[in-house]
Amino acid sequence: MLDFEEELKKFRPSLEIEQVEDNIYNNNLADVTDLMDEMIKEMKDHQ
Amino acid sequence: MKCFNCGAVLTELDYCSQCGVDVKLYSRMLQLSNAYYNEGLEKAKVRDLSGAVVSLRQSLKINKHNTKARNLLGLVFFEMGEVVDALTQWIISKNYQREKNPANYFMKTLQNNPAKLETINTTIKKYNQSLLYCQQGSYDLAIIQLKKVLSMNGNLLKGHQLLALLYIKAENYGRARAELNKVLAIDRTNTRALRYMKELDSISGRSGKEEEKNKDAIAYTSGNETIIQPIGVKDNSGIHSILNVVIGLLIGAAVMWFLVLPAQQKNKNAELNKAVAEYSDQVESKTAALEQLQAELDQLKADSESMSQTVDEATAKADSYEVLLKAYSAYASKDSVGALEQLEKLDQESLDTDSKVLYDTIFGEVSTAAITALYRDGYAAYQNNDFATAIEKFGKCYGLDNSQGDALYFLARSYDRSGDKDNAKVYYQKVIDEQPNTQKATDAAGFLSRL
Repeated sequence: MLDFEEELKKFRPSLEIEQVEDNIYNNNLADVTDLMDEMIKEMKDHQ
Repeated sequence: MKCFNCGAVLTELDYCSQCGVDVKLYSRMLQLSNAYYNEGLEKAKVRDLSGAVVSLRQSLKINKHNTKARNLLGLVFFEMGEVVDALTQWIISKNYQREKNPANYFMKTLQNNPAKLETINTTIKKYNQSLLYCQQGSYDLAIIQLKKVLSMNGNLLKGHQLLALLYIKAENYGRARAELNKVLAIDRTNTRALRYMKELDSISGRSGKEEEKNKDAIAYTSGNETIIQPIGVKDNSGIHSILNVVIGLLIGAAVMWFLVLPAQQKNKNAELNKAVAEYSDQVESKTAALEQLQAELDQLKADSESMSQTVDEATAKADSYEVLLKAYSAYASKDSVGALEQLEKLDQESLDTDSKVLYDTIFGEVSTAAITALYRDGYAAYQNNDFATAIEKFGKCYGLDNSQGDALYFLARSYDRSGDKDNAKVYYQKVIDEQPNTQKATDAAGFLSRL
């Protein structure tokens, strides 16, 4: 059975066009390559 | 493929020929990213958009430079109505690959149609407003708002989902199902829509029973509405439309007759009453002004009459003085009769005290002589059978002094002899009355008896 109130809470307001810039800055762009790069640097530092 | 460490172009070797870094794992990861992209692309092609989003995100987590995956993710977001997320992905994509990037075309297409962009932004704002209505418990308002939103931006999956949820809350399961079907038409594996649909199935006991129930009815969707029409019922929509138009016209006419016209009449009456009141005020003020003018006119007339009277009196007085002067002049030249004639013309009332004294003095001096002269002239005329002159002279003589019995007697005789019997009778009778027991009275009685 659906809990209406709980379902309603799952809906979030949509971002407006003016908020595109904020959305880009808040986007986590790190990928596995970055992690690998970081790991290699850490390994080099330890050596 | 470039080395993640130095950026040099990699060969088929498992290490970078320039910096010597082991790129075997890196190469595998790029392959994995591409595999996820392919998976995402396949899912997108069959409208499994939710699945495509997951795969493409996975691809980008492994290789953020995979612009194909990012562009496709943007397209998928755009199709799902998430324009901001789509723009975000395309901008990032453009940042990584400035040349020959399809993201440029996507964004240019959007930017060249600002009206479309504005409409999308408006729908997003209205969706947020609907969500606020829901949180405040104004579900009806939210439904109305969402209907508007979805009429402008039918791809906004979140809108359809929220509307479906509201319909479920309102136990309007048919409409809820229609909304969910729209979601699934865009995104076939939309988890939330599928979950709601399952809930609907369990609520309505759809598995077989609902279909049986609706066997005698067909349902179809028109815009945002789900229409359930019984089978076997003749579609008289054309006739009904005409009938509805006629009824609408009748209702409109009734509204005009019972509401609009009386209101207009009332307004007109009010305006007329106002105009009448204004005219009445004007008439009253004009009447008052007229009365004032009439009063002034009466006053002026009275003043004019008074002035005329004063002028008349002054003129009469001046005439009297002139006559008095003529009388005095005649008196000074011993013309007693002339002086007396002038004095006779005088209005004694117009004379002041001093003038009255002069009048009395002149009259006293000339009257006796004038009476004598008049009697003498009258008698001479009588003797000469000039009865007209005789009547005039004796009349004046008697008029000046009514004790002149002879003048009265000869006046009666002059009338008698001139043939004026009526006056003769009058003056004979006067002789008899005023001089009784005299010879003249006896003679007068004799003459009177013969008339």
